[in-house]
Amino acid sequence: MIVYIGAMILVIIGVYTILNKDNIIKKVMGLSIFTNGIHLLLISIGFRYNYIAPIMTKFYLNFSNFAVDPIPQALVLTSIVINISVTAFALFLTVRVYEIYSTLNFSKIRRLRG
Amino acid sequence: MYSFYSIPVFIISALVIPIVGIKKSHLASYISLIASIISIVFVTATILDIMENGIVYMQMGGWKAPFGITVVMDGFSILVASITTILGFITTLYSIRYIKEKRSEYYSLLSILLAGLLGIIHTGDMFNLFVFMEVASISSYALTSFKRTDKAFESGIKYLIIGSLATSLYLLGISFLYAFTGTLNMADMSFKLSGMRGYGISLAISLILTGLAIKIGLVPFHTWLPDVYTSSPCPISAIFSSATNISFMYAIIRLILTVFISSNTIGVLILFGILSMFVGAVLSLLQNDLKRLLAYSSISQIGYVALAFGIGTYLGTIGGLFHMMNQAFIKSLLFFSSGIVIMSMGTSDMRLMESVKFDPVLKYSFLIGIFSLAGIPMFSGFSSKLIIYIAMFRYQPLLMVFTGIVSAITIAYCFKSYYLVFLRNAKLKPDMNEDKLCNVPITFKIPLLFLAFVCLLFGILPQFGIEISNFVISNFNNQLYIKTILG
Amino acid sequence: MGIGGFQIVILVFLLFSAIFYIILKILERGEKSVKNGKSKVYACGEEMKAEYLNIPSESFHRILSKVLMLEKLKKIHSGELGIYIGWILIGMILIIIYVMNVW
Repeated sequence: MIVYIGAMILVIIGVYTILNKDNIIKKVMGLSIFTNGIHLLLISIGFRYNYIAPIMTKFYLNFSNFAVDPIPQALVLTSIVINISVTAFALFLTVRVYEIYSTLNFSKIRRLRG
Repeated sequence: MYSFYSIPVFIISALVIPIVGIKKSHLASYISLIASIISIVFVTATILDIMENGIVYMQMGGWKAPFGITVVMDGFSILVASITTILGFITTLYSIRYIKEKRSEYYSLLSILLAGLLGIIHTGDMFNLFVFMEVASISSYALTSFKRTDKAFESGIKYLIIGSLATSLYLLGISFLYAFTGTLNMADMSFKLSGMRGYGISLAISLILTGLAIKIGLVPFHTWLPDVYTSSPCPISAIFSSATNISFMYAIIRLILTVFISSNTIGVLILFGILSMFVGAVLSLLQNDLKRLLAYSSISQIGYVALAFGIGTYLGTIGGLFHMMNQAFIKSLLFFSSGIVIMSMGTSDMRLMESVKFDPVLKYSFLIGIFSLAGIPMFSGFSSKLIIYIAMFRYQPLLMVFTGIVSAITIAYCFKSYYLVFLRNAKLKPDMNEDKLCNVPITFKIPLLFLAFVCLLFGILPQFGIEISNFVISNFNNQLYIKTILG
Repeated sequence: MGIGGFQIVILVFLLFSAIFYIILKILERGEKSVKNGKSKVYACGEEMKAEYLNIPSESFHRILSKVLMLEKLKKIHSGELGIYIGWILIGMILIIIYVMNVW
């Protein structure tokens, strides 16, 4: 139960950072915190106390009654990989924006308006 | 199920193009053209298959549903898939001469975008929808900032933050639904949600709908859209406004009408449709930049489609489907012809554009696009808008008055753009590139002529569009969908 | 719906555009005779000169947008990312309220 509350606190911190901070790098960090909170929530959905990991070994050939749920682990692995590439691309765009505008403050990067 | 194999074709071409493009960069466009022609052939084969059988499906890897991933096509999916592949081919043909930079990753990114959109259309599993949505989104982030100007990078980073916020909200909604139902298959979830009630499921459904509504461009969520359409290259703007919009509209309608059918949430599109129509039309009247005007007009037309679907009557759904089809072809025609104008004049500000001697193909195809957008009879926009008016009148007459007012504002900005670009006379400046305007090359003419022909076809003979929409609606059957997949 | 519905509407459209074209021709003839000086226009109690008869479209557009306060919508799209995401959250709250009442 406390893991769920912790994951939702991470999500709220992430959204708050994207809303209020002015620096681009802090917004990208907030995006990363937000997605990591969702991953933590997903993994803790499939968790049972005192069950084993869902790996097939010589002793546990039929483990479906006492293993942790493996589907959210697959979802989270896919999502972590997607998140890495999005963060890498966001940092590349940050470097290019800094070269052209020479500031990292998002309130000053407003040439497109209306 | 042949059209699913066009996704690996696009991905293989996306991997081969950068390798080939090191030495000879003009071969990249031909590989991309061949890939889109192969995908058109596959989609045509699946159309014939669906007209015989009804619903076509395939389980990936041989695992039975609900444990495996299902690939499903029915009437609605095949309509959206055919429009996406045709528009992909036309955009690739147009970009051969438009893109001046010699970097060959443009065609690779375009192939990945088309692969992602086709994946959204084919899938029958909710997490698979998330993965393909991310694939399409990442390639569109990269294509927005392709030109490396200052405005392109600014709109790229704003689109990136808002877009990944949207897909993460969708993932949060899916995780709640997995906790409640224990399955991720669309047919199985529709079966299990029909007996459940509760506040948690309402929160999950609203998170999923928010995430998808951001990607479509409905009104409080539309803020990334004008910047992105303004600063991306013109063929990319055309494919964003037609193929991407249609695919995400398909995703949200499929989720509301098949998976969340027992929650009656179709009415949520009415409020956002009304807001989008009004804000899009009014803001488009006040713009000075040609591509930004077309971007706000895109928001307004998607508002029409959302309102027509949100009513829920039979006539409204036919109007919504027909208008969705029409608006894809009209918007891409307008973006293609304004691309030629902008490339030759050197600026996209309409106050600085002056009339020179234009090629008649360019002038008349832009005029056909403007007439279709405004809703003049004998063009395609009139047929779909008439059905929407009649559907509104039977549901609530006040809505029809409101739609009429918005259509009047639509006519105002349509003719404003045509007048400012083509009709004002002035003298020819010495630094204008006149030859592209007077003799349009052949690879620019074929897309313009084909799209203008489609707009005229649906206007003079509207029974084609109504027959197609009737076939799609009669094929759309929830009980048959669930029984076919779950066995 | 049927095919007959579309053809009747096209005929009505052509009929009304013919009527409006005739009215436009009559009004143009009247304007030409005012410019020649052959007839006068009386409005608001006094005589109007010829150059005040035609309002150019740009000033009409500017006056209309000032009266109806349409420029305020354009100013709201100021370009800051924080305000844009604030609207997204307001829209999400609207969807949550709607779905919880309907479900």
